[in-house]
Amino acid sequence: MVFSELVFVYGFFPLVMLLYFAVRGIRAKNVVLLMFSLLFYAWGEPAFVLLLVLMTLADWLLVMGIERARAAQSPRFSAKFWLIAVCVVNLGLLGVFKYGTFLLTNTKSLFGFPSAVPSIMLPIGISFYTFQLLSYAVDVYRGEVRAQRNFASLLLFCSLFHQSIAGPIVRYAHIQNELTDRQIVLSDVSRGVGRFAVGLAKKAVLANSCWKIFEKMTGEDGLAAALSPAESAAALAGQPAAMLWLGMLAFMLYIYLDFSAYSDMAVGMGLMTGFHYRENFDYPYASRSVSEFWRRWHISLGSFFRDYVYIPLGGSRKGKGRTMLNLLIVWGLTGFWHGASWNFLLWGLYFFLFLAVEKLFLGDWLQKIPRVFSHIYLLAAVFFGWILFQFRDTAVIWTIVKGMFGANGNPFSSFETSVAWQNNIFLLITAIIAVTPLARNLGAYMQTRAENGRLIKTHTAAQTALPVLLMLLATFALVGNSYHPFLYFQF
Amino acid sequence: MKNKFSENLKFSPALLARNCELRYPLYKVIAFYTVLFAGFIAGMFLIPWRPVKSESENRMLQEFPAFSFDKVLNGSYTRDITLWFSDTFPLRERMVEMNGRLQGLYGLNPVEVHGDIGTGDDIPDPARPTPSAPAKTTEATGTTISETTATTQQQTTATEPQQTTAANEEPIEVGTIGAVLVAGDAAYEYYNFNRSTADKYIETVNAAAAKLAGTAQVYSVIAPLSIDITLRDDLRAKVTSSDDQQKALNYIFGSMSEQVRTANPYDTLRAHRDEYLYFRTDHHWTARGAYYAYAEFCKQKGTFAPDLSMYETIEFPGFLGSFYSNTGKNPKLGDNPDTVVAYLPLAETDFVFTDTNGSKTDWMVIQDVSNWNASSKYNCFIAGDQPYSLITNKEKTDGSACVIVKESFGNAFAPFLITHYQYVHIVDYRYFKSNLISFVTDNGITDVLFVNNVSATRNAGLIDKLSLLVN
Repeated sequence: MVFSELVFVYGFFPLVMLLYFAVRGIRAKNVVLLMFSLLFYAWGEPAFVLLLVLMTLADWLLVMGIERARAAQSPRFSAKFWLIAVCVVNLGLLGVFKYGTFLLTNTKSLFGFPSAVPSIMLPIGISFYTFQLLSYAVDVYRGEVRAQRNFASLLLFCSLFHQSIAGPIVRYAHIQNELTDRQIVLSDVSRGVGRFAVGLAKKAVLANSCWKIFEKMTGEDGLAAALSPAESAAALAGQPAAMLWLGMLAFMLYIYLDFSAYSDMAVGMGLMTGFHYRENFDYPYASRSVSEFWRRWHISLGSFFRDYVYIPLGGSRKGKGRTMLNLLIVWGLTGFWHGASWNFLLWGLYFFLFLAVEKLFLGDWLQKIPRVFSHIYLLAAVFFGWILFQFRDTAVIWTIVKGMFGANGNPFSSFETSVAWQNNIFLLITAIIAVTPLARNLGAYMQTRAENGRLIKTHTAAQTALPVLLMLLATFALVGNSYHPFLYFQF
Repeated sequence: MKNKFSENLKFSPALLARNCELRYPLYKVIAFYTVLFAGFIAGMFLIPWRPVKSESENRMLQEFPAFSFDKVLNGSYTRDITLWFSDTFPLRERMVEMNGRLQGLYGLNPVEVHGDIGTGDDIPDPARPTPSAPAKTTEATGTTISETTATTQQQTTATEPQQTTAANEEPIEVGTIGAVLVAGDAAYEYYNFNRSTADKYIETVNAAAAKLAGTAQVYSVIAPLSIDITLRDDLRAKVTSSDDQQKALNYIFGSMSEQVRTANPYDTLRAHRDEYLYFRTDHHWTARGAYYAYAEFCKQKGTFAPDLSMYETIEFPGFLGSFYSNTGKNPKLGDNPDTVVAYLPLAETDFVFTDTNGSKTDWMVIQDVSNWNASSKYNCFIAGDQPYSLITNKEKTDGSACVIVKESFGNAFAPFLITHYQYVHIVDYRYFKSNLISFVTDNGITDVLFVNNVSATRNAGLIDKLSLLVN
């Protein structure tokens, strides 16, 4: 199930909330959440829910091993041994399910082995919950948290439907107390319902519409799965430059609006039930450097790699050469985390180059030049990055980049292109506003004024009406378009 | 403590503000949960309110899946429930319409383009009488796109006939396969020439003519699409992605053998372009458009078409056709529905259609569809798309017979023919299962008319079916 389906919004979710408030006591509430979380996961992947449960069970046992080894004077197996076991289990399963097909396809083309590549289904959300379990194990190993004695609590942590399949990658340390003791405060619930409504409208209205514009560039089904790379390249070669710019602009807006919408809804649902998840996005397109962008984009992933890979490798404390190597490793992994395909590695390394140059000298420089230039620099870097991200084939990528600069022998624009720009101009403006902190700042300003006794009624009316309006618009849009691909589910 | 107490006594705006500040979260939460649970009640408990079929899309909506363990295990059970839940959500049509209006606010919309733009093959000059196999090089870019669409469409058509049964269950149209341009309150379908499919069409008609030589005369009528006829010239000049239909028709007609008599309605339709020749909200031509093509056929046959003023007409206002649903219920079309004008046959007639189950129904050549829903008004002609039907002219006894082999564009055309024959056999080649050649021989048919719109000649799925009928 995904958040942007009507069966979730008007079936599953209200039912969970109803039962959640109907039962008394934290244990009963947790039972409701756990049962429905498993149902939520099984809804889309009936078989793989077993994988989720068994993986959690294995980690639960192994992490207890870590804790016992830490406590004992001379344990039979060291804590490190148990930690390695955790890594083998988690990364092994992730490797098989996510990278198995990709690896074998490559070995086949290189060595002719195996003769037939099995196609392995990717369990939804595996990249998210594997990382949650890994961070839990490492934190116990480091003594930062105690191992969870109750299996059901640990299972709730990694299967909780708020974040199990589309992030954020929640750290056990951040919610361990709330798993057994949490308060629901009106002001939190009020913020939560706002975030839920904003997220849903962001996804259903803005993101899906941006995707439709992107499809004008690529043809229906923007991944063009039915076409071979050569066919895709040939079709894209016919697109005028203005269409390619429009399409990629729409994609850039889409990918942020889509992904951050799911995080908004996760945070919102958390607040509605007493969980406080960390923010996963902080208006990344408003950044002024690539390193700032990556501190504000998919924060839970960036901080995972920082805390569990970059810093353990020595971070930037072991000299320039080692720092560069560490960055290279982290960005190679970040790229590959997004998908088992070479273009994702390319995409990761692309950002590595920017980060390396920023670390060397560009970073200071970007702080000194007028803000507008550093903003343009960042937006351009990210914009072209999304081409590498979205298109798997280098021939296709190259065709698009060339076409953007008029090197495919097409006129700059076409009738359909200018019509597409015109037809969507207000949508694009709205989407651009939505990726900036403008609306948030306006809300905060209104709030301050209201607290000082000004425009109280307006503020109350706006605060009350806005979620309702957003929910209605989202509902129309969801009924109107049954199509809403979500890229991050692949990971 | 003291401070707080004194503050409570003050009746200041700031204090009011703080009180209100305490209250707005409550209003907000109540408002949100009201919407959420209203949707919950609508979604979970108003099952009878759930629509079963979509009027405007002319399709049955997703049914609630039947339970089976296999389906649960492979995930299709829950997937179908998800689909059912959203596909049949109460007030669905209304919400789709609201969404259409919302999308109208996305930008400036003097014109709009919906759907994928294809690229056509080069249209050759009609040099050869029989076309040879097309050069592989012409099948470059865009053809793949339009052919993929054609395949999907073929799958759709395959499931359609089951729904063409009961009298009030309207048959499904084969919709548009190209992009759709909306200009003002009218929509137009893009056209892209497809060399290999056009050649297959030519071959098929030629083959029929050769096989029927000495038995019957073969005629070919091809309807152009409105984009080249009624779209304003300055706008048409900008739409370079839609291929020149005049050139395409010249190629197709010019490549047909001497045995085929061709009726090209392009010039006469252009001459009458200010009239109501095409629907604005649907991809079909009007009966008036079909009449001019019929008049062109009469010229080829060497007979006269009665003047349009001789016909009695019935009007069915409020028609919102395929363009309306293809454009996600575009409000500019929705606010300006079409009127279907039908011309009653000039003779006393009997009409019987045979549906996909083989059962026969007595019906009207022009059925009163005033009470049918907005999307089905075009089905007033010859009971819509039936596999086979027969019009009998009760005022003739000479045994004269023709067959019209058609897709839905032929529906508005067929009724005019009854003036000239005792029997007008109507074959919809998408659903008809017998062999056309033996059918013609067995029924003493002397005239065979292939009536198609030019878009059919780029639809590989359709032309494959036509070709099966002849070979």
